[in-house]
Amino acid sequence: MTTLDFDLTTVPGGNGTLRIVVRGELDLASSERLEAALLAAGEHSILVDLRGLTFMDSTGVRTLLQATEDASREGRELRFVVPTDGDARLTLTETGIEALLPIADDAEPGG
Amino acid sequence: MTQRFIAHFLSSLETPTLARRQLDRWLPASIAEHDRGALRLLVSELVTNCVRHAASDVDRGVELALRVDRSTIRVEVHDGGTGFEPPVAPRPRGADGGYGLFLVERMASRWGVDTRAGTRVWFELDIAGAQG
Repeated sequence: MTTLDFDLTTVPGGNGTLRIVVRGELDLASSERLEAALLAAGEHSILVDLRGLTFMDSTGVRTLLQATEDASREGRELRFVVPTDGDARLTLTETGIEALLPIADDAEPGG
Repeated sequence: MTQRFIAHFLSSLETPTLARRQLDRWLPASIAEHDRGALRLLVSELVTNCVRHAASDVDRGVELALRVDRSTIRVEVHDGGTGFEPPVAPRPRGADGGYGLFLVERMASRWGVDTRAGTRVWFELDIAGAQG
């Protein structure tokens, strides 16, 4: 039995881009799954859609920042679509990390 | 009237999730959603710290205590660890972490650490009319 509410799907996008869609709660129990999905994406360009997150704490924040550092160092394209309201929005606002993340400006619908 | 709650959890990767669920069940319906969001986040941070520091001792538990007064909510998270001295002014250190106590410092009305018996980290959040 688990109380964890988290779901992750990786779907092919256009132009060889992989789209990783996460929903639910990004915390100590779920961050490793996002890390694994990012690793599995290998050399692909990645778009991570975070709009379905209902919660994120600093463990999730750390995962996003680490992914950004890794992609930058390895010359891979990585962008995030961020939530506009709710608990995950609160965390982005209070940490101020949005300025450190590559934000997608052409978010596709759905998620 | 003051309401007090306390719960114990085994230390695991899901403890922060479980602690947030427990908090949601305890909080009176009168607490505004913005305050609930802040409390969920800060509880998750303190419990995560507990689990990370207790990683080498599987038998160690995490105690979560909540006190709801008319104008203040106090949260205490306690482990059986030997304690750590937090930085006076926590600053985030990018992907290396450091955002947990940074958030507590930023969002809580006041907070502190008591290391006399294990590590007990507490914070208080001032609210408007918790019990109407």
